[in-house]
Amino acid sequence: MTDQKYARDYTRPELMITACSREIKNGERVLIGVGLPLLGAMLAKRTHAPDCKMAYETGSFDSSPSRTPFSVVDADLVPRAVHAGQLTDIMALYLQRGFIDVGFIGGAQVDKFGNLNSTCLGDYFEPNVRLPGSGGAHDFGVFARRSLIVMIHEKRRFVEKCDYVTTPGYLNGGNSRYEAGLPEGTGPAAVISTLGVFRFSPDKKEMYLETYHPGVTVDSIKENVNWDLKISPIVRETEPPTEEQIRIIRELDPDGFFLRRGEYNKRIRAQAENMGWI
Amino acid sequence: MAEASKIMTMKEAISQFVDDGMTVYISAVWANHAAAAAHEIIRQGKKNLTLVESSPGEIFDQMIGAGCVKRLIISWCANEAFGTSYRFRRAVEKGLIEVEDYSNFGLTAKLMAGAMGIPFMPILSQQGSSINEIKSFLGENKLKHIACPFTGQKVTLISGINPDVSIIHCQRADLEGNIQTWGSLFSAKWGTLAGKKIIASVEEVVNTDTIRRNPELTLAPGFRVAAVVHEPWGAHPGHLFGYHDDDRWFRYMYANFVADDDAKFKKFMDEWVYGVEDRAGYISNYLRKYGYKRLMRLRPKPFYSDPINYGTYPFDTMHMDIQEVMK
Repeated sequence: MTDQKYARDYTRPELMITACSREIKNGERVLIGVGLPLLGAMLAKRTHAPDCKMAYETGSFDSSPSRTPFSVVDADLVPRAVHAGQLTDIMALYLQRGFIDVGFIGGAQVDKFGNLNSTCLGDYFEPNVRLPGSGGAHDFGVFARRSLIVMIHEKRRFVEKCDYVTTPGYLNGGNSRYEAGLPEGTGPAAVISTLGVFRFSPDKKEMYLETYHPGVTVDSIKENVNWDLKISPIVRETEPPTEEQIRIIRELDPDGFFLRRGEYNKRIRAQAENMGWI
Repeated sequence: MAEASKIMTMKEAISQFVDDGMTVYISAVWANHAAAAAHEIIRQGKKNLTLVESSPGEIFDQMIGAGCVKRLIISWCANEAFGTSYRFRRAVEKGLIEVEDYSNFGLTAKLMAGAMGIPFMPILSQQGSSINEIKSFLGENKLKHIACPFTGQKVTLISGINPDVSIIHCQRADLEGNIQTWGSLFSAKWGTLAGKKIIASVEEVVNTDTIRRNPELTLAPGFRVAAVVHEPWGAHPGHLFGYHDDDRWFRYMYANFVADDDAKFKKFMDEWVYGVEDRAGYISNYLRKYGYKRLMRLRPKPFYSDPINYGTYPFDTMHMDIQEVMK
């Protein structure tokens, strides 16, 4: 891509979206959840992976949305889709059968073997914070050939041990995932955080740092992980977004609903105040 | 002779079929979003309900906030891309309600088993996680792991469930209660059919002939359906394919500026739930505040599918005289 110029002006979430997008290969079937990955997949489809097919647990497969869906239940994912079915069609007939290549998931906590928590902080029965729960995340993480974990990077989120394992990663590392009965040839492939991109070692299945985002140091990443993080011997900077990628991302999110939530929130709040809501 | 009409008001349907302490499935995943029914349950002050749904949002949040709920069997609860379900979150954190957590697939498999009248559904999901190991009020009846009796493969058995009542919002039904829906259904098919009784609110009441011209759209035949409620805009602020879009602005408001504050939540509920008689009253309030133009912006422009050919199959083709045909 010699004529592709790298963008100079971009935000960290925009960089994460391009990193998500680059994980998707052309022709793959991708299961999408809520948030940044949805933009990542739409970006992939408009750039290097026009033939990737997106599946949504609502039951839609290979949709042709005319707007950026605000989520997987957006009504616009139905008209002109290849299949409008139901959750069990996607989960049982596609995912459980092994026909989904990539699934994106997130959570409040991740540990070094890629286990994820999106259920509660603290004890399950007396939680300090109750989070939404699994949704489809557990199922994506169990069955997708490659699950991709998208995380806000804070020290309290990269933990030695999750308070609750909503979505199993490599469990205790090594072969333990497959010994527990999870399907061979599945598991977390990468963690894309606000600071860097991480992968899992082939034998121990332990998370290591592969690339750090521009402006971030390896040391600052190590400081924000609650275990002794291994670093790739060829650790390097994350490839920045191209100008084309940034242009498309901004087209996909014209009002800042996904990526400039502070600004969006301020605008809507002002409207709400004018109309006597608050 | 035509069967007796199943049509009634939401007030009648909820008071007749929903009692305190029941287990209730309510389609609450924004598509087929049974908002009108949830609001009527709140108005009638139902208590100690066990609610079941895979990934509910605002209407579960509101029923929890209104004190209708004792237990939840869910896999997720949030106001979706718009924000946190604060009423849900606080109630769990304070120990006011109990939760049994599944994954979306596990929860839907549970409803599927119930709908099919079998005690459990085997799935390959849910191994090696806290979802399996930590059991709440269902205890050992939540799920079990076994080795497949044929192959020895590890399998998770999800216990089935038959809610006392299942409630859904659909596109249309006839007087006999044959209900039809289209679009992506999430868990709504199995959730609805798992119910011992079914209440359906619909955007339109149609002739049986209309039902018969598209038999594949039927979610449940009339004999399964206890009540049909004619409730236009019944999913608002969620959507119903072909009838109304999500009201994103309204949903964003609730999630971000209402749900996390006790006083604002009370004001919202007083206005939109307690302060109106029924869904018609709710829509009147919407029109009064925001006008007809804004409501109609939620109505999608038509995009019809092509007619498909079912064919006609006359009696004489089964008994034709070959020589007669060859003449």
